[in-house]
Amino acid sequence: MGILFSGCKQKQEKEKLFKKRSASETGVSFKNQLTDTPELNILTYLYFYNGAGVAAGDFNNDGLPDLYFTSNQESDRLYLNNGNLNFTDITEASGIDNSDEWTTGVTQVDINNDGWLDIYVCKVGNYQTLKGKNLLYVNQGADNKGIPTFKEEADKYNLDFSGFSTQAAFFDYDLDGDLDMYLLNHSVKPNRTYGKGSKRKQIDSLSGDILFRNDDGKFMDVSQEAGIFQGSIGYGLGIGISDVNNDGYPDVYIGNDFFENDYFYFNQGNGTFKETISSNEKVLGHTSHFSMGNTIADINNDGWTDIISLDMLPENLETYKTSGLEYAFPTYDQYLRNGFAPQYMQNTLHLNRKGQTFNEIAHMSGVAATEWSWGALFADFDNDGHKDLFVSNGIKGATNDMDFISFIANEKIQKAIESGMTQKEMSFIGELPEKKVPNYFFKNNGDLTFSDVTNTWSESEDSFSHGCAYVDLDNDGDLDVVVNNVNEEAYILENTQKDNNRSLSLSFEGTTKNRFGVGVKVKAYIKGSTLVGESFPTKGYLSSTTNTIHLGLGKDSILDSLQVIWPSKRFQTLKEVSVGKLTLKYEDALDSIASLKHKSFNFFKPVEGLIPFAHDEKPTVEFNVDPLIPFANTNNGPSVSVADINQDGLDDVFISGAKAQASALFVQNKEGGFTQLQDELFAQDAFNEDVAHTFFDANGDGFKDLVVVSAGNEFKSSSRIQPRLYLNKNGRFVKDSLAFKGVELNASKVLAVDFDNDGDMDLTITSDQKPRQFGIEDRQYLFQNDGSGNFEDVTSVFSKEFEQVGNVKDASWIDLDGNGYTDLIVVGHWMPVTIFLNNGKELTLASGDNLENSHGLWNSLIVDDFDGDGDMDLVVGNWGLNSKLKASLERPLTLYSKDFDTNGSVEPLVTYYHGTKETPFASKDELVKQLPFLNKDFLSYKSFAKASLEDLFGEQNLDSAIKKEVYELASCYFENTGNLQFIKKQLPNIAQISTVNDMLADDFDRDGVKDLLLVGNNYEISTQLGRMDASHGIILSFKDNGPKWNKNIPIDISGPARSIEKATINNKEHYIIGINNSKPLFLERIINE
Amino acid sequence: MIRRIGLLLFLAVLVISCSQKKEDIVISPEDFHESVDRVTQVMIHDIFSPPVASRIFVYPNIAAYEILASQDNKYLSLANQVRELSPIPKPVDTTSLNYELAALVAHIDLNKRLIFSEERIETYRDSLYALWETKNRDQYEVSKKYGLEVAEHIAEWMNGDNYAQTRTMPKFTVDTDNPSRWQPTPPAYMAGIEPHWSKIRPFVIDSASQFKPTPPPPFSMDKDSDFYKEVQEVYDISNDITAKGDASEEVQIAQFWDCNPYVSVTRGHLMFATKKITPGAHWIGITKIASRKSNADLHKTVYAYTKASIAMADAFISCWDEKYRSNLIRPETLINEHIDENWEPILQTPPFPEYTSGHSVVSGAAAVALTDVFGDNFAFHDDTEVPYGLPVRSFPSFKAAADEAAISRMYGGIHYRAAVEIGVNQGRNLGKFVIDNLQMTQ
Repeated sequence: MGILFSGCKQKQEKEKLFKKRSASETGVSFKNQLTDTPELNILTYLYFYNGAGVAAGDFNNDGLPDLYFTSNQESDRLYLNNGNLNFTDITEASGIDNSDEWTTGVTQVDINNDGWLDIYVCKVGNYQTLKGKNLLYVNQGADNKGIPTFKEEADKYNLDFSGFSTQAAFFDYDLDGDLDMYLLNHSVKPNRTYGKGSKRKQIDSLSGDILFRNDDGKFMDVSQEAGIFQGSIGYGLGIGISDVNNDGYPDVYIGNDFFENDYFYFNQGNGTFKETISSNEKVLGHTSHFSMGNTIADINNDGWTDIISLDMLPENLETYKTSGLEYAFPTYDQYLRNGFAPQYMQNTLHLNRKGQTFNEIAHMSGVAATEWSWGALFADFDNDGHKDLFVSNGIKGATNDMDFISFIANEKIQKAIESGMTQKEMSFIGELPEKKVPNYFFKNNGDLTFSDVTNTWSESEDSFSHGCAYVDLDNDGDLDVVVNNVNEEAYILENTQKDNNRSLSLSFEGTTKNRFGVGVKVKAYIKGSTLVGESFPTKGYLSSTTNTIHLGLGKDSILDSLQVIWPSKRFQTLKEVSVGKLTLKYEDALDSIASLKHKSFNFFKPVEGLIPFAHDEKPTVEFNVDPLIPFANTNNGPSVSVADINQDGLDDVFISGAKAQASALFVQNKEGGFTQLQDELFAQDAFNEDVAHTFFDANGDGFKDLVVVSAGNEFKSSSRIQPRLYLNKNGRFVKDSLAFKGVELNASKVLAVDFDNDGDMDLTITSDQKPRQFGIEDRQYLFQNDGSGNFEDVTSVFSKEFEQVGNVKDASWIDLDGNGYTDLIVVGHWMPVTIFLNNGKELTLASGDNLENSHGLWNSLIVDDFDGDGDMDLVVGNWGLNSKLKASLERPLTLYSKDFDTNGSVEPLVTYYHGTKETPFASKDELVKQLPFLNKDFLSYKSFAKASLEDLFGEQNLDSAIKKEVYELASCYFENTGNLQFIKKQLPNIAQISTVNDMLADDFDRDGVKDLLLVGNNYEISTQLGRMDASHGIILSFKDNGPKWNKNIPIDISGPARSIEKATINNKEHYIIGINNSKPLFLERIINE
Repeated sequence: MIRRIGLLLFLAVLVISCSQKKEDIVISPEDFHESVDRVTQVMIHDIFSPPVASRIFVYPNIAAYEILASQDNKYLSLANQVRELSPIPKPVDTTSLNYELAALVAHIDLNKRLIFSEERIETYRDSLYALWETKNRDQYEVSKKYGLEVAEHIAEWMNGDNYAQTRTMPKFTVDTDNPSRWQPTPPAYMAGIEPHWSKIRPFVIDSASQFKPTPPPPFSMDKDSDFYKEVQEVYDISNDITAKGDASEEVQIAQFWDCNPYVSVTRGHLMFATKKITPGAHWIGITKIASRKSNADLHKTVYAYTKASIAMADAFISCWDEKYRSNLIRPETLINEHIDENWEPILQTPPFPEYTSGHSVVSGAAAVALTDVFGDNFAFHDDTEVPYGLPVRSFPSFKAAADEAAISRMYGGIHYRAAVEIGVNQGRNLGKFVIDNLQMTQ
């Protein structure tokens, strides 16, 4: 009774982690009040609603961090921290006077290294009526009451830039000891016409970013020589500084709004930067599209800092469905061809893989959609050792509201046509929908995922929140949060963390040229994990925190060791550091690192130029034919087959070509080189899009014959999708034109196996769909070999159930029940993992295998005794968890195939659950083009967004549709527990970041433990889903009875990989990876010493 | 159920016969103009592309026309004259039947079927119904019943025109390898609109390709080629008239005939669409002006609307057939690529291939049809665009208006010369064929 009671009570009184302190308590009554004027409003200045910033810093050196808020149109305010979360407004007394024009970001810096923090304020000038210049308030020291005074001296330092500034960051990019400055600026041009990406190479003196090198206190523009883009298409809103590749040189991530790429500048260490996104899109994959703020910190404690860039993807379904969305696939394709990198409307979280590549995991991590977002902060709010995430968001006028764009604005124009322009404009503005929403808190779960704890950590009030900073305002060892709001008092969110989690707060005394040690990196080692912190204070959107590094440590009160690395590469190691506060001095850092180049073990060496072949696929047209589908089925090649075709003891290679590209045979010579043979033979069927093939001995003559199957989902029938048999006559192939007469299918796999134990190889050919009918299954084939290479279709005799089993993507023959006959396992889309047991005469569906509800979008299958218990287990590759699609038995992904408008053609309607609501996947714009009747009742986007699936399509229609479902999107390990009973286990999170299209088992590191290589990615998916490009190859090892991510075997397989084969080339083991629309990748296995 | 309805009818008849005075319901030409205006307004709100808009105008006009022609000897039915139209059903009860009322009822009903925002038509319809009911319930009930019956007949015919089937046909695929082929244009980069409009059943012409125009000058970026010269001409004209300013005659002409139902505008961060009537709707507006000016009675008014809208509907089918045959790239794309990266046309480039100019073809056809109805050298003041903030322009004839509409597309920077000159002829030839092959008057 007592327990029950206290349980209830506890629940009721459960305090939020963050307590909002009111202005009457704190004395911070600042608000960023916006006032539309005829001269200045959202119509005249596109970033009128972007908000303002906050900088935290101890400006009077009393040990308490103070706060400086910028106001867009009114007076900036400086608040002195009195302790106990009480502040005094000292703006006027301190000599700060910035109250006109338009103000944006703010950062703190000790510009003259006198030990007193100064303030740099960004403004918009040289634009219409705005004449502002950036301001540098130089701290003159504090008086006897502790009040610092400031003198504006931007021109003295050559930092009085007058243009369209967003924010500045001070850091030592050239490691010459002093702090340089990156000035982030933004374009003010109309933003819809993307034009050419090459415009980024032109120079716009007002909107282009500027890198200033500090030459003895004068800041000189070195942008061009340093390789900084300064074009008029850069809408710079986000800046993050971090040494992402751990080479000691700080790198820069710039978030650009709208169509322009983000810029990811890798510091080359020679005074220049290399922008990576425009030069090699494979490093990051896709980025956020409408990039706002970003931040960089290590979220998985692996010593490599990760990047989050914010966007405006709404979590709220109604907001999503009434917002402007991505271009449809064909237009998007044109946009890419105009010189832009792939970007999608979502927050992107780029997991850093040793500074070489990044995995974009935001959807899987649970942080992709946070409404119209501005500032991101990675900080360990609960001090549990994992950095959590805060996101500020909300906007006073949502300019992407589709009803406003399409319907409301025009009516206003009509009504106001006679009234003056100004009045007309003002009346527009009032009609813009507000998006006032709670800021997000996410708790880091320590497994690459985050949980939304907004409601448990905060009072989750609606706000228009922009600049934000974390800072321990009350010196109690946990991080508080300060937020600058539009038209509302700033938030002082007190962290009331009471879980006895400890923390370490590190301050720095640096050199005479960098007094506060900006750019210091610390590594804290604690019980096998490494916590990393960097001191780059500009973060959180238009804002800056202090120069302190805060590390949450969980329950531990002592660190094993702490390493402090200064920008000059001098370092200091402290052992057994206890929690609390610590000031580290440069003069104590006596050790010097010769080189920061980290030692890494390599297991694979890419080998270029082994075969002169590149898979060449035309852009898919499937989204033109079927705009409602979530993914196309046109880009499934190439696959690779390896065999010794001429009995010279050397592995030869066959690789499939795309439509209008012949497949190719490459024969290995003794020197390990390859010669292409019989190209004229394969050119005869160049128009076939070959997707699978296998070498096998069809006629028992000892030579490997070849069977090839085609797909591409373009040809409905004809020889373009007829399987082909090539008989090998002493090393030369001859096409058997009589084979597979009349067999036409959009094929997925071909397998050779002796399924009737008569000593010859029979064939299985599977199909994933009827041509051009999304999700509609075609029949499957079993061909019996008469021993001399003649194949008879025996499917209906052997297994009617297999013939109609579904949309098969992969299959495998192996004797599961030990009766001497190989059994068949098939996986595919919209179907369960399915086992057929073979008794030599027929295949029967296995029962009781626990697989009945395993419906997935399965792409690949591998069967092996992974746990070493003597029976066969399965690993099955799926769609993955890194998209907005979710599926479970209760809330499946569903395909309704039905002619909804009775016009004679079937529409594939795919739905998914958003929370508890089943909702069509296709956008309103796409749906109404196919089904105009929807506009009769749901013309406005709002009415469409609110409607239920039944409202839209009618219960009867949905009931009478052909219905297929998916309950599992994770790639899974099915452990055979004996007697062909399987237990499903999701593969580790890292394996869920993309589709898994093929797998290969091997012991790559020769440690006696079985490893599994997973390859994947899929670019031909709806632009509303983004692009599956996060996988760079993943290696799992089967340790402790289950697959674990093996980070110690680095691998880089970028791009849409389709297949893996192993071959011996030049007497060395190689892995050949078939990549769609690209050259195959040859990786040689090398031995580390 | 049937018994209950019977009882209600009986009671209704009882009430009517007891309490209602009988006054004839008079349908004036203005009533019909009003109905046309209403549907035009809803079309603007709902956003229909120009070809689809032409389809929305034509069927309701034909329904109204067929009812009027069935009891007016001056006019001949279109049944068996336009493709697959069978005679409308004969009225069962003619005692209180008001054909003109029935014609308006049918017009409104088909309008409602063809647009999206039905409530906007319903509100207007219900206010008329209420008015008619108080005036003469008997006449109203009988005429409404017949009007709706004819509307249903026309709707069945209409539903066989392939419109529904073309909705699910493949969207237009941009040919990225061929530099002469159309590409989506700034600012919204919309996909090509109605690539299968040539598969819509035509009304009078034999097939979509009957008035296939001669091909445009062969694509070439060689500066001496005819094609390149046309590209350069668009650029030069645009620069010349831009220099002259917004008040110049050419800019005025371009804007007057813009007739773009969806212009995507960005101001600051604000995006919105300014929506205007389509080219077809502009000529429907001219039809109204001519009817009024010539004091046409209701029957002639409906006849004029019907002939003009049939000519225009076929004109769109013919023009769209050519557009997706020649699939020609727009001046904006080429000028940005080869001449001036920052050039923008005075009008926003509409989202479909360049050749021939839709406005030219449609204006050519409509002018021929209206000349046939109202005579040549019919001078008029065109105030159709006044609600959209544009001035009144005056023309000595329909043909002159069509010529100006055609050249406006060059001034607007969205068409080459061939597309407007050959286009307006394509429209005239088609219009001539339509008037020659339709026997609408005795």
